[in-house]
Amino acid sequence: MDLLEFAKELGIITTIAVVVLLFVLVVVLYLVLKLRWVIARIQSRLGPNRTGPWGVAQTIADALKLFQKEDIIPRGADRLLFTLAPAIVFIPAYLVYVVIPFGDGMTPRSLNIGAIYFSAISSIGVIGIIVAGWASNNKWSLLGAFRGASQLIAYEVPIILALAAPILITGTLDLNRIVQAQAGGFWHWNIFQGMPMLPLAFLIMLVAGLAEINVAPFDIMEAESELVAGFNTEYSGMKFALFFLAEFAASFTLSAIIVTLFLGGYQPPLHILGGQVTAKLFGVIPLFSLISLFWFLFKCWVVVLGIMWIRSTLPRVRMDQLMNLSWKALIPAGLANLLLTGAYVAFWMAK
Amino acid sequence: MHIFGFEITGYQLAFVAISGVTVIAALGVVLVPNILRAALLLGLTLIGVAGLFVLMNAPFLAAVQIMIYVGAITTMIILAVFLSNQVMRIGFSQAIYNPILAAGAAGILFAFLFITVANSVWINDPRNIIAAGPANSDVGVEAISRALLQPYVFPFELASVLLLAVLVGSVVIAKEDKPGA
Repeated sequence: MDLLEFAKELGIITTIAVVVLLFVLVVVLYLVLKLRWVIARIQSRLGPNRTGPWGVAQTIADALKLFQKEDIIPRGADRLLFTLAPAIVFIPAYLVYVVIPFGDGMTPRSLNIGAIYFSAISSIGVIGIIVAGWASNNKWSLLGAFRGASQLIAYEVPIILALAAPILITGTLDLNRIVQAQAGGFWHWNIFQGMPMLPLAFLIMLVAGLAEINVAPFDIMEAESELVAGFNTEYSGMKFALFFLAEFAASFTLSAIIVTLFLGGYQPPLHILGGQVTAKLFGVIPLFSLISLFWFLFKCWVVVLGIMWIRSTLPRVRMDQLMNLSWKALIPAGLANLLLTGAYVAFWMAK
Repeated sequence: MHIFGFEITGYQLAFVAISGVTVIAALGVVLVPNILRAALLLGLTLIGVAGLFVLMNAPFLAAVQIMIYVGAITTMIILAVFLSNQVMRIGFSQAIYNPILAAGAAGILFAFLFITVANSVWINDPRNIIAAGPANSDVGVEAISRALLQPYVFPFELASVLLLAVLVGSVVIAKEDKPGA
């Protein structure tokens, strides 16, 4: 590869990065608004309805307000690490979007180790949270960071164990090929395959994922009633915005990975609703990818709504309950599930 | 493109950039007085090594490197630093107490690694990669798992037994002594 080609490659990579970043921003804008609507609805409140029609401009107003805030670095804080921490949290949350198959042929960068890339990159974020809590020089922050570290470490293990089940059954680490293996109607989706191992893996993934993205009932690292705001107590302005962005970006990532691994990714629920048929009817080829993109986003939307429903109805767990759930319930269940799946693949599917 | 008569490829530029970051971060680990910053620089070093793995056409190793060394081990080191809260505030002396011994140990380790690397048979020879860019064949996950479960199954299992022993040992040490037990 000569230098010109290399520069061209760099250009392509930059373009992809910018597109993905814009997508993340739009998703977060929408999710923040949706969350406020959904929680207001569930709690019988009105929710945002003043800024723009039905309050659609609420997040934009929030963002503008956030940008105007003074950027405060507390005295006694480690200035360098305090500034770096939001970036360490945000960059991994943004990088995982690179391997998500958004639609047929619409993966920003398809890797043949996509599933492992996902869990590897998302494991970096915890360092940022610890650093943020420590660098703030504030006891609430430090307590939040401590809780966060033990929580994120504990729940990474069941996620990886749950991840292994669909990988074993489809026999590939490539997220694209996992989606392709689920083609042909909703009964081919992984969640309806390999009874009962894959549905169990789905449940483990969902519960551990909720803890990993740090939402109620597992939001003890920023439990408002105990820790003010946890690890980001001292943050304001743009730095706080980055944490906020990373949190909502991660909740979309969780639903995207669940949809990809268990709910058929961009595959339509029935073949007739897919792009191939519509493309034949109307003779428009690009429509094919767009329809698969629609199905992917629609499924993610449903999963996100489910997550919002859970977080607005369940009370927060205690620290010890949180640890017990992971180490004594999810991890043993995940290990047993992995063993069963292995046996299933070796003795049943081999036939 | 030619610089000082050498032909420079984009691949070499990437290699120099990544290994530069890795080496500088590694120097930081041993020279920075603040132990938390040293731990974070260790994380950066390990990410740099993962980047080198990517350049060597071993993306699986790179991902595993990040997952285990950055995601788990660096986090553990930082947590350990937190728990020993005396270490956090005071400057941490990185003095070498016995330079001759240290140089000897480092030299032996380097010689050992160098001889092993130089005498190994590589699927993608690193020298070829640096000269001509990566070959098209990835070191696949399947090849790695076959190697782990066939020729190297004994060392692999031995390592896991060692880890299990460490786990049990740390539980025994951490367990509080109950009166009368």
